[in-house]
Amino acid sequence: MKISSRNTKNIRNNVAAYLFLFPFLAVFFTFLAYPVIYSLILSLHKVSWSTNLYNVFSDMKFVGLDNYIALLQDSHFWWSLVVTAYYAILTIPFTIFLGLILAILLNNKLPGVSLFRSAYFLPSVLDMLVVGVIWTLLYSPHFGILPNILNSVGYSNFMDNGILASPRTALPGVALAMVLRGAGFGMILFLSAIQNIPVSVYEAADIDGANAWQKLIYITIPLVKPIILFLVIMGTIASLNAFTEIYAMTQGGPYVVEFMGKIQGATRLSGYYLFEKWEAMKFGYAAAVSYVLLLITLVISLINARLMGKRD
Amino acid sequence: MAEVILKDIAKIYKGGVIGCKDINLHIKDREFCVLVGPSGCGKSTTLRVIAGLEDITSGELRIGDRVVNDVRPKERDIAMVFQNYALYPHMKVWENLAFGLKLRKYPADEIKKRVKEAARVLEIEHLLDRRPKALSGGQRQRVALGRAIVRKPKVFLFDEPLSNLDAKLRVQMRVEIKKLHAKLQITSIYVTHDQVEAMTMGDRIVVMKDGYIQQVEDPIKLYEKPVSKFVAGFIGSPPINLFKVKIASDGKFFLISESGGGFKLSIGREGFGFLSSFEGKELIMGVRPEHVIDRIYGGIKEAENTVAAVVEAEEPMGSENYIHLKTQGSSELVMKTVGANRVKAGDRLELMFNADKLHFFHPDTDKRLNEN
Amino acid sequence: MDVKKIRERIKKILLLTMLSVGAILMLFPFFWMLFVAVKAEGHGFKLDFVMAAPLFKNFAAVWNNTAFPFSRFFMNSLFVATSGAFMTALFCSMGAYAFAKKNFVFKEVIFWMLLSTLMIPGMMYMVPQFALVTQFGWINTYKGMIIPHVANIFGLFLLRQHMETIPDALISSAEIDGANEWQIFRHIIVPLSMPIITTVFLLTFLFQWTNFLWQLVVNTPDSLKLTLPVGLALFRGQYSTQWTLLMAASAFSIIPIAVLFLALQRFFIEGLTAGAVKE
Repeated sequence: MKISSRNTKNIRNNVAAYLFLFPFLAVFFTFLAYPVIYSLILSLHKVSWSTNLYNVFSDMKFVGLDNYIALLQDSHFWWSLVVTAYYAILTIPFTIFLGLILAILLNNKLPGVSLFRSAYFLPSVLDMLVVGVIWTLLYSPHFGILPNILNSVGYSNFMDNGILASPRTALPGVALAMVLRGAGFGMILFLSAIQNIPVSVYEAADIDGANAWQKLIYITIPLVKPIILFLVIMGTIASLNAFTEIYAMTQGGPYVVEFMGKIQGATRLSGYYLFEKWEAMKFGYAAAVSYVLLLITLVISLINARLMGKRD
Repeated sequence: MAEVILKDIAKIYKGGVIGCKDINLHIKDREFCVLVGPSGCGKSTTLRVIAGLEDITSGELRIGDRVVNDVRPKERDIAMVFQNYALYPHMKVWENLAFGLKLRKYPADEIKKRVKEAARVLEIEHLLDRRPKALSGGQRQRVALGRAIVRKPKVFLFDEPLSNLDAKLRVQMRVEIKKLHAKLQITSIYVTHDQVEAMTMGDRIVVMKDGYIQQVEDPIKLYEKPVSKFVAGFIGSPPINLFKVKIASDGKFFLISESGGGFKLSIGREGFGFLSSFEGKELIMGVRPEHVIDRIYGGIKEAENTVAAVVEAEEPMGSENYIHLKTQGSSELVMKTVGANRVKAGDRLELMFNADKLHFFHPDTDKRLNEN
Repeated sequence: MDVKKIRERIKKILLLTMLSVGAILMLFPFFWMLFVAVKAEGHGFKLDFVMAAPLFKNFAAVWNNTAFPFSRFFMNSLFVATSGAFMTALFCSMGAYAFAKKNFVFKEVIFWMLLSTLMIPGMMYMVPQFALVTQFGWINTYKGMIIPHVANIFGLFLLRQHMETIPDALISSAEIDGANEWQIFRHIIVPLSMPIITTVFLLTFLFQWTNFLWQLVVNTPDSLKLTLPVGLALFRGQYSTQWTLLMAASAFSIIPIAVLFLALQRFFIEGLTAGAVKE
């Protein structure tokens, strides 16, 4: 008698695996995988305005690439990309630089190091909307503490309008708040990377006669390069995703800049612009905006993968 | 109490990789059976098949009077001790022991009783409240054994349980497991790659290679009559000496020689008649280190029938001495002699072989050719 | 005197001063928030020291506000963050176990899909997820606020990476001990992954607590399910000059997270650094 039970365990394993995966996959496919396709479909449609919140998408009309064509001619969209790039340039290098400096300072044997580490890291986990609101107060005209400090050193330009109302300073103002909030995250990453560098490497450098500065330039920075790259990518995606800070601080304004013959918001980042399109119930158009943003993100990720690949 | 019977068992993995094949074994009730072989020989696969951790591709497996091919591990009434003990690190010792009983819904006082008893048998009563991390290797091993015995299974399975212990502890635990087996009288199947463990522990030994069984035998017979060059080489330490020799005959004697020289064996000698069919051909000759004799130290007069060799190194062990030599034909060999027989590198020795203990293996099939 | 020692000491003092100034600068907004939150009405943006009497009057006022009941917002936030974190930790652990320890058909395909989805920016999901949620009738519900975000791929990967280090022998051993699939998960895998599960729980809690955009999208302004950030945004829309009340309301959002973070920092740091150090 021969009994074959070749597959019982295999089948049991498959069933068990899928039972364990089911809750996760159900949510994943419904809310993460399907929307990628659904979004593409939406972007090819015009969704008629409807006030019934439970049936917003009742009337969809296929319009082909109309949304994308309109997008290419939309100066507000182009401007939002420009502002987003500017925002990325304002935030990413400074966040990385500040994070690295803090990490290097904290890498010394000092009393209360862990206390400082917590203090620096704390802001990065706090509610971004709230942080934005607080900074709005700090920046506010007449009574904001920052304009007052600047006034007391003889720089009175911001007393009447505050910092966020001026097109030149609005975005740097937002960026400053976000750099101070986010530097702690970079610091933690740098710190763990620096502490992973074997002491013997520094000892060898000591014997080779390197001073503190040379050790930083020739050892520490090259060895934390992967972290820098990671933070650049994270920062880029964060810039493309940036919404809450703008909503909290400027609502895209001040609307005084002229670009491609139209008045533009000085801080209207693409994420915020997308939100505005959603709010205006231009769902098809908003979906098209998000697809273009996705494309940009993918290109950046690809470049990143190339860079990473070259390094290894 | 149970027998374990494997009939034509095969485990073939995806892509046709053989885990084990043609396994026919009848492990008797209360027997201590050892599966031994080099890594990748299929011994662990066979054990995992018996445990039910691997599906059987074909064949039939019986434990007791049941065919268990499709029975889940937990219903096979077996217990297993793993190589790295596999103690649950987050549970205290007594929780480790009780886990299997709890899952089987034993009443609390029964669990308590059994855990206590197992702990007493293994002398780990003082460790019950500790976690595995706080135990030494030997203590962990005992807990792993305890976890197996609390359930009073029909069959014990051991998967290289001692390989993580240091040498001294390993010897000690070897004896402990034997004692435990003598006391509990539970059928045990023990997998190891260590032939010393196999020899010292097994009632019977199953030697495996490349997924197939080579030989099933009790330890002494296995040592004295290995079926193949592989088994001969695997069992015994230091390992058997193997030479490629040429067989010739002068009518009265077989001349067994390698390029540098040889020795004679009288043609009428019992058990070596097969040599005549290999005249003019090459064979593999095996001789165990203890059957190599130093003629002069042994005080033997006859001086013609010797093989000359030069000492390369010695390993004095106190009670005995392993002397590493090179023959004129540049074959290396080891001689096991008494501890007092000391030599220096470069010494020339005249060696004799105990003819009754010579093994001849077929050069192509590696099978042992001796008639007894 | 030892010159080297003095130099060391000076260096230390210098470093400590720099670090202290830095810490004060970075935390200044939060101190300022607390300061303004306990000031008297109308003095919110004045640079004076007129305090509210009693000191926590503003907190009480926003907590019990009838139009913007922050007590309710707080409870909503707590519920959404806790149940979201719980579901995420559970689903991710279960899925991670399958990926770490089981073979199943389409494993590679699904894994690849998860990996590539990780690249997609969150903002991109706003429109289609909103569309789905309206079609499910989940507007203004806890379901709609929580469920779309419980499939946390990063959390799944983090857990999978850890679970792969759990020896297979433990699972075999439990199997022989008589555990069924769920018991193996519940009694072996979960306890041994508890630190990482905690990390995933806390990071999700944090994410849900501070998630503003989605809660804004999925709730109408009259919803009873508003969370703290959304409530704060709406409150600000009406009382944009009531800085004392605004800051008190902000504190309700900030303080619990700060306390949670300071108490369980290790888990946050472990989780947040894991992404960078290993892909």
